[in-house]
Amino acid sequence: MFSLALFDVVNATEARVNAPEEPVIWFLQTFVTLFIIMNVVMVIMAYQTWAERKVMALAQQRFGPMRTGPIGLLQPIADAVKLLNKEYIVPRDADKTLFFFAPIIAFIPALAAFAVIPWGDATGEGLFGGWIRPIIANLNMGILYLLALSSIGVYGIVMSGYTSGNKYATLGSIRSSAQVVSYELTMGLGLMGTLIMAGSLNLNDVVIAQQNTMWYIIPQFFGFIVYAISGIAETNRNPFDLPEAESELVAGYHLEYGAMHFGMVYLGEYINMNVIAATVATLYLGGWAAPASFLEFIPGPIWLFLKFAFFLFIYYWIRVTLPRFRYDQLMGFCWKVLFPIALANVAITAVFKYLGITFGWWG
Amino acid sequence: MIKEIAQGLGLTLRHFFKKNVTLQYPKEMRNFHPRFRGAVGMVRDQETGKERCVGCGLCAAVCPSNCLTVVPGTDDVGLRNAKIYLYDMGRCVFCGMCVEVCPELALVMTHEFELSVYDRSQLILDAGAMLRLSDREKERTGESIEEPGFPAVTDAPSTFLKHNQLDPRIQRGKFQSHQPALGTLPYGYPMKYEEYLKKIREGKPLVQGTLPPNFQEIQNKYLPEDSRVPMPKFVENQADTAAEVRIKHMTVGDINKVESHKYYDEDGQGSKKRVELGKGEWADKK
Repeated sequence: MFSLALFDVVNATEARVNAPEEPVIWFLQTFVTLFIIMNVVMVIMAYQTWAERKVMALAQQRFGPMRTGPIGLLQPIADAVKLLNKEYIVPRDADKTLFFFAPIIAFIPALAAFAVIPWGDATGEGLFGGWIRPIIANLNMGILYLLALSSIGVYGIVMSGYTSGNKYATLGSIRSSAQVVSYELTMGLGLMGTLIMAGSLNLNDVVIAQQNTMWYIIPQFFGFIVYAISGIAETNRNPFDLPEAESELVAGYHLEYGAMHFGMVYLGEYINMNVIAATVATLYLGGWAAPASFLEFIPGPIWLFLKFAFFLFIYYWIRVTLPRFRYDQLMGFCWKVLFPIALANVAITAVFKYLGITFGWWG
Repeated sequence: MIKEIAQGLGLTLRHFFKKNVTLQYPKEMRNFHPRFRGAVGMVRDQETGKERCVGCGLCAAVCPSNCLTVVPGTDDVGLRNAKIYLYDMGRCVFCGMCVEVCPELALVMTHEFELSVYDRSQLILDAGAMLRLSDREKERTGESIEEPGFPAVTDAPSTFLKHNQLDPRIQRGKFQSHQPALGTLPYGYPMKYEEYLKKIREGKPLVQGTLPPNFQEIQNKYLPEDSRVPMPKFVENQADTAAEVRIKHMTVGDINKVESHKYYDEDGQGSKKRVELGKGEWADKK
């Protein structure tokens, strides 16, 4: 019964999913896909720590991790082992239950956001006759789901700061949550341009629409800039990382966490970065589609990975170059610069589309 | 502002593709300059093979951190020796004053910098251990640290190589910083004792490599005709021409009259001209 209801929610029209008649088999297939995709995403997240350290080091003309494993490739594993072996400390004034759950609430929604990102053409059947599907859940409201989950991530930030029992952590979390909430608005508005052009919230439809016209980074360039900058701010990355400034607030709102809890918050930041990068890759850079038809022998998931790795490189590049924004400069930048640009972008795109449909040149 | 951000991003990207400047330490060793002050070692006398120390205690007296203990005694041969010689590397600041002050040139700064031990008592060395330090240095270079002096074991060469310019056949453990630039040895680089003896007996010039031209000229005067180093043309008669110029200016004769007074004497009065106070342009200045 439950699986039937789920089936209805997920499968809004008939042609979306080539699902077998039995809901149980459909459920099992989704589970297998989920297992594989989530494992891949978690490995990418772990190796992001390595990639970030290497890219930042090479930009500073030094090597980065070199001793753990061949070129430092076992560094994430060494970090994980270290974090798992540390002592889990709860401060005296902390609210014990919420303190325990806060990092988990920061981490899980970002991971869950990977459920709607298409790694291949979702209208097709997956590998092995449908057992490994190209997308975990082909929701018709894909983008809405993503944005909703990033809003839940704010709870994790607020909770971890407040329940630490430390005023500086609380201050850090309040600043951070204000920052995240403001930039979420510009993030959503930045995305609107592509959604208007594609005409659907379903991520797979957006990718297919991009194949018919050009990749949306070109017509929606300002939307891309707004979305990218808001994405960097959402994930509390440099240059917007004042709340967790390593040298100032001593890691801000997650300072009281030891061991694997810190690991969850730290990796949660990387997963959030991955979500933003994957959304950019899907909505602006054409998702799983190859840039030219002669390159189609490289499978879809590899293209998505390359595009998202490119955007992650931009994240690291910006981190290694720019100094930090001051908090008032940060908020001013959002409300006075990005918000008007995003609004203007949406308005102009909407007007163009309307005129296009009226005069018939919108294909 | 966007332009500056773009310039910054371009800068980091350019540095991304440049060669790294760091050394992978355990695999690559840094190329130290010859005067690098590492742990202090004792030098063996070339003929007897024992240490040169006579137990005078000057090094202990001059050491600013009191890390040397010297008690004199007598050798089995009857020569004065250091009965007890202790060097506390834990206190040593590696300043090199003991090396500078030793009258027997018995101490030298080796290039040992990897001095970690598991127990602090292992940091106190006696004379035997210090001899071993300099022996180790000798093994690594293949040459002894002969004729030491402070602060260098030799005149510093005019060029020393960076770690990435070294001969790739050099491996870790070989003493790399004494490698001269490829080609000749630099001025005054220490030579093997046997070579030194050979050169003296044969009347060969002691200095290896090339000297600057003025010194080379002087040396050429003291060498037999056939072993003179040929000099480039322009420096051949430097000394003679210098002497001529000096002699020329010293003679006052008909040919070289001193006529400089003519340029200063406007009235033609010569030495009768006097400066009149109160007149002239300087009198009006206050």
